[in-house]
Amino acid sequence: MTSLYQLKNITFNYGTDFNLVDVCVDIEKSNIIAIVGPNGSGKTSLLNILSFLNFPHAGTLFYNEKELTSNNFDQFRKTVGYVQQSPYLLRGTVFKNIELGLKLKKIDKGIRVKKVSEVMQLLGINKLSNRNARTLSGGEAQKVAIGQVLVLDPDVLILDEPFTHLDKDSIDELEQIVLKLKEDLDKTIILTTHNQYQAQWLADDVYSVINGKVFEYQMINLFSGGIDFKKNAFNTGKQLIIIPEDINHAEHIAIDPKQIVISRDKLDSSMQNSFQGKITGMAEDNGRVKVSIASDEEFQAIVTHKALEELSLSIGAEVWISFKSSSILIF
Amino acid sequence: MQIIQKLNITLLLCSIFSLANAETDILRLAITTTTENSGLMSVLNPVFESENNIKINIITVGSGQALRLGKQGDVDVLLTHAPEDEKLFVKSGYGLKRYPVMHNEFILVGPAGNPAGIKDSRSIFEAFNDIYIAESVFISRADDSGTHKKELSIWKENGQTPKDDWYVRAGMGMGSVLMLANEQDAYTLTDRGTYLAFKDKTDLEIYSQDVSALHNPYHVIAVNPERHPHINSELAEKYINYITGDKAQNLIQDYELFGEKLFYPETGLENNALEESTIHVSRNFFWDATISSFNLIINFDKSLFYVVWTSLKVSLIAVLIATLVSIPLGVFVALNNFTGKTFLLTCLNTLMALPTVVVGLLLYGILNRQGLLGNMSLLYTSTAIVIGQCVLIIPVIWNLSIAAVNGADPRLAMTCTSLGANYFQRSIIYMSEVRFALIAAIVTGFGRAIGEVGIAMMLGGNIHGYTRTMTTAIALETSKGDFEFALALGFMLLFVAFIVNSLLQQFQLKIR
Repeated sequence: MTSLYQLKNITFNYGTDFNLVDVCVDIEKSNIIAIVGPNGSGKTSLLNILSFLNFPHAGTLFYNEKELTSNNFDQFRKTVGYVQQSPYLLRGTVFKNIELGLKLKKIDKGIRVKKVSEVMQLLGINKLSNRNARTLSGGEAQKVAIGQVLVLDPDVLILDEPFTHLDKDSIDELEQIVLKLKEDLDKTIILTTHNQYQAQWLADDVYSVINGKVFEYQMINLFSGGIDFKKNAFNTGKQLIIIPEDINHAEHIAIDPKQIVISRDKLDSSMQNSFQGKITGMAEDNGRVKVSIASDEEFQAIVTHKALEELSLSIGAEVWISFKSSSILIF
Repeated sequence: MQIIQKLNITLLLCSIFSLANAETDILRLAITTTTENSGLMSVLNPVFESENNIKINIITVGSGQALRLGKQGDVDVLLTHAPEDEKLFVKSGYGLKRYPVMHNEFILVGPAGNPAGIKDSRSIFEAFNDIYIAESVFISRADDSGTHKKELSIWKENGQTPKDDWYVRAGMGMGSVLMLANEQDAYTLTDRGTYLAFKDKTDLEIYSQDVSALHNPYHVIAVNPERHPHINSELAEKYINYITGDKAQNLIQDYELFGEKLFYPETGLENNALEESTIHVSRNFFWDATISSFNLIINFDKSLFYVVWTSLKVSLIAVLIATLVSIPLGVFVALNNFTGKTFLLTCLNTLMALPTVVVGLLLYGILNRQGLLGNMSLLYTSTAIVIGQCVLIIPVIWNLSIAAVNGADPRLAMTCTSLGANYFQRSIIYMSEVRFALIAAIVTGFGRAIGEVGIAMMLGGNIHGYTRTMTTAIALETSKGDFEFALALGFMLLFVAFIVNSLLQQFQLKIR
């Protein structure tokens, strides 16, 4: 697979919030990419960079192996379809809304009708063709908005929080559409979501954005709570996790699952955190194994097959997990 | 404590009332525009005011309207120059006595070129005949004033009815009519006083000064306190004694303008006092007028609907032009950021409150003969009104369309960008999305244009059958006392507003 986007040390500042700092990411073609992270973390800024709505303030960006410059910025944008959060539809029918982009490109009427029909067919909204766009439900409107950009045949489809405010059935339908766009049309789809589990099963790759930094893994070991200053630890309510000394504010912590070491016995090492637990699950994860361990909290660690064999781990086994306080992401 | 407060308030109120009482000695005097224009009153009245320590409130109208004000008891004393109507006024018991004050004469004035070819030493009747035959432009006061009555009597004497294509019914005061005659190279009948007062402002020349036929006597009449008990008859009598007395008569004798005498005092008192002969049955004024006005509307009164048509035509053209200019400007300002934008918005907000008379004044300065665009002869045409109304409503529509575009959903900008719209396409999409607010902006502009009176009066001149609009006609007919016609126009104005708003409502429902 070839890289569609290569971001090298990308920085973007917009006021005090929504900043991106030194972002390095490779995004591959024809995949579904999910971006997760709390509000104000920089998700939208990242989407704006990826959809060429904003020009990065620093760093280099390669798109289809071509470097982004101010000359090809507009040209790049035309290959990306951006659907904003709770999209805005224009007055008039669904057909007219989807047709608009083609009209603006001065495409012949016959071709327009054909293309719009194809898109509506694909999205399963042919019946809505003559409906007033202002009377649609949230799920229907989201599909029409996708149709609006899809009709322009973009290489990449970027969806900002497409599942927010939708009911269960609409979410299911929309997930099927996203998968279909990837499989049938060979599109790359980049979307943001709040739902960790949805991101996990729907996307080929999940990125987390925290405080303007982008991480190439999902925030799996994510805990909420506060600092217990006496014990210099983060209290999740169930478990005390030792954190570096100079931290004076934290609401969430996340532990990189690759940094968690599993052992049969308690390790005598410099790692400040060491908890006993029981293995509750194991799953294949991109050539490695994701192991779930229930201590007072539930932890997940990613280990190699080799390590798994050496430890001869199985579900229900009693193990120790250890990790350094410096491997904890605090925010 | 409370009692003291109440006492204080009572004392305060008492002192306010006593102050007000001290000011009650006011004499309400109706005079004609010809006397006002001559400047004589500013010589005569201050003497009386300081001698008696009172104040004179002057109401300047045509003689017809002055007599009407007297009938209604709205003034204490009249100084008019319409002898026949004055006699009837006193005979009917509305006035006490009629005293001659002074006289001068009417004169026929016209452009230096003398297009009617009026020869010297012609009588006024012959001169009018020359104008009639040559069909030279003639401006009539057409406001029921003494001058107007005099002019009509001459046409009547000649047995002639002037034709509309050269006979202009102005409906304005004497001074304004002279300015209009000057602009339009027209003849008009005027009193000598106003002519002299305006001599340095016009190029008009005298063509006939037939002293006997054009005798112009002024009389003073006190309003009958038996009909209107609130009349300040004591002060009215004092004023009559003053103005017919030696002191005032000498002032009149000595009053000059540009080295010429304007008025000749009358010697000796003429006692014209007559007993009340008929009693006027009082009627429900407003109700009767309302009925008559509906009759005018239902019967499709031609002159009424012509005025409505003129108003609509002028304002619709102005709105069309202003819309074509303002909406693109509004969309541009709303969608772009540039230096000076805040300043521009402040200016537009200020201009939204622009008084119509200020627009009228500025354009009058530009469009009149001596003005920047004087040689285009635009003053007193409907084009001038259209220009004035455009100036008035462009800031209104401009500003409101900025607000309309700013009021669009903020997500629309992103939609336009992601669909790849260029600047022009983006403007069209915005205009389409906020079209209802834009139409409301246009309707607001139309309302302001059709309802304004200052510009139509100052730039159009309120010329009958040409530039008379609903609002100027209402102003004129009210001052002439033709309340029915004015009220009918008022209803038509409301009706037009109603139709426009109904259409808007329909449109709003349709595009939802």
